[in-house]
Amino acid sequence: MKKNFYRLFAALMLLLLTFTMTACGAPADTAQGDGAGDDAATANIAIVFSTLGDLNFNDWCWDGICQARDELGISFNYVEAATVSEAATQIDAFASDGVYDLIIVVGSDRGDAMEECAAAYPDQRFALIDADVKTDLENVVGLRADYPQWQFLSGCFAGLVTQRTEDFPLANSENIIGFVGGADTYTSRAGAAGFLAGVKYVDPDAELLYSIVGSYTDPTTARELALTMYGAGADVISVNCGSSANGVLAAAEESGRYFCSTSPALISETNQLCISITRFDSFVYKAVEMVLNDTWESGNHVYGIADGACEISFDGVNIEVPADIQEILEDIRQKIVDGEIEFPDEPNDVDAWAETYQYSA
Amino acid sequence: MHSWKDTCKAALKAAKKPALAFLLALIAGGIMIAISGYDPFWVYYQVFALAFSSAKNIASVFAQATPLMFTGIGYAIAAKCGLVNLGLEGQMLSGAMTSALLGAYLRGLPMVIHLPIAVLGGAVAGAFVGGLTAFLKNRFGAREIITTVMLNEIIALLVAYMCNGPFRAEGSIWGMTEEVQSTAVIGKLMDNTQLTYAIFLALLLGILLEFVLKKSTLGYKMQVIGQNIRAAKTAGINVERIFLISFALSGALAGLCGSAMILGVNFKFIDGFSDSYGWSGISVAALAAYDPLFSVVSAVLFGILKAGAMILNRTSNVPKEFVSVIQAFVVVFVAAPRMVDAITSFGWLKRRLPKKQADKEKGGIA
Repeated sequence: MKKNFYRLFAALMLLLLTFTMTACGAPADTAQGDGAGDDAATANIAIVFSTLGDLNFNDWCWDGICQARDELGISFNYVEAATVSEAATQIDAFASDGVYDLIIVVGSDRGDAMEECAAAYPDQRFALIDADVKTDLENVVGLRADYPQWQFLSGCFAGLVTQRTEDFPLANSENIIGFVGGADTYTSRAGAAGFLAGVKYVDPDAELLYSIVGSYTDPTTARELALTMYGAGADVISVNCGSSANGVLAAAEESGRYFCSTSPALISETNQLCISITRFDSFVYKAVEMVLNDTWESGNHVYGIADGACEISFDGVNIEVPADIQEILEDIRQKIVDGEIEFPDEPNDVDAWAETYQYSA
Repeated sequence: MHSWKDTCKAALKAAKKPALAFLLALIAGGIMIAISGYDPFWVYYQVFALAFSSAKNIASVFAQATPLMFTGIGYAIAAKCGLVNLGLEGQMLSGAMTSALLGAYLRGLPMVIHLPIAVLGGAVAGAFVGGLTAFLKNRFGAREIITTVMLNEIIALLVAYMCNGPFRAEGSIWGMTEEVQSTAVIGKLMDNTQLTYAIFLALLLGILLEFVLKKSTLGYKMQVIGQNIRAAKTAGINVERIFLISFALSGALAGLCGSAMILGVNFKFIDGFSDSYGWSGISVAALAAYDPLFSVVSAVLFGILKAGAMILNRTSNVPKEFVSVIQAFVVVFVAAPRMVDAITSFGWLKRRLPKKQADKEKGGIA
């Protein structure tokens, strides 16, 4: 028995050895497969994702870096790090390679790990996507969306929809619109304020309902809140509450009313009105541009509708937007680009804000 | 001299099944690599070569191995007395959260007091959760396989709530606790790496528990229970008490894993910080034939794979998930010894083996 085992073991080892020997000679052709042609490369970027294939945040950033490669001619190297400690190792490894003009870190949970590494490598530039950086190091930037602008256009659209029952079959005669937030944090309140301000901007008489689930992972409570809102006459509800939004979606389908979401991954086939989108890809692109154009400015950068970082999207939404509404939305967008609108960041301020800002064509 | 030879033979014999399982798992992982369009031999060569290509990478190997050592030893110590501790992940998380809070909110203590308190707190929290499972088993006859898995879920949600809710750091977008005080930080063995002194603690505990298991009455009782629980009961061993001790020890080890990761690497509890350290412990222990000291060795082996795969993922595009595949297959092959026998004695091998011996082998394994 023992003898046979040894024989088998020896055979397998021999096999492994042979393979290893042949493998040594194999060309390392798979290494660094992502850069564009080296002669065209103007900058060499490293990017640390959490997990690609999420159809959301990480994939947006992937699109951004690919766009930068195609349009700006940079080359890049990427890595996936599922956990923060892994990301820290990878960021440090990229930094110690010393061949990258910029290291982009995707994910707000990795900020501290990045800043710690940035302190150790003062000559290496770092960019954090979708969060503020806390240090005043010269070699660090943070890029994120301006929270109130994120859903402002969706708010405008909802405000128009609730007044147009003839064009939108699921709208009712009441002039009420709701928002379900995840937590009572500044980020969450600012997002809600943007949406509600959008409604008031085109529909000053609208009644606004604002509720907080208290959890980003509690669809049951979110559903109850949404059902109450729909029951009170709301015909559109928007959300910013993570996966609790599933409950709002369910409530919209039960009540036969409209639902606005913040992710293309969560849309209702029948009751979707629009999607509020943060273009994370534009942050990645802008970070690359800062390095290429030598416009590096350390600290936090906040982008909004005028920068193309916040959008309203109808991708995969089963709805027809009348031409005149499209024109109004484009008109509002233009006003924002022209700097005519300032945004409130607390839901309580929206009413006062609406006295100053009202849409007029 | 003779006894040394015997020991060697015994060790080789004991290593046979795990070695075969690991080899088969490598082959299975290789198939996955090939399916994703890469040359498995090149990948394996690169993994092992890259893992030892620089001092920093070697440090990375041991940094990756450290949490696995704790959970591996933890799983082994419960497995030795026939318990299946699938709750390592939850015990690890509870230890991590406890250490994070003790590290952050205990102020004004010197390091010699603060650090041990924070570390021990993690161990106690893990031991408490582990002990709870044993209590449920002893008192109510609840199967530990079920309660541990359920407790994982409960604890995962509880700690997620804690770091997103009441203990969320001021002004943080992501759910994380306040940073631990500098007096509760486990020192790094090498700058700009994640290798900390915690690895010595893991090694020490591995040796200690090996000793306890092999040389002490407690260890003897545990082994007897593991081999034949009825015989143990007949012999008058207090099975319930041993269960409790064993589960608490296992949980304490898992809790220490959490402490090591929080106080040495992350410095705060970050939502989702765990790379399934608890679950990986099962593979580590399985590969070590549920021996505490060998668990340390097999953790290093997995550390090589993980660190190598991370480097490879950086220099090329080979997905590092193949390491998880290998980990999973190790468990499958270790848990199904007859499958390994069936595979390794299949076809050409069987014909080449003398018939008598083949039969003997079959009998020996069944």
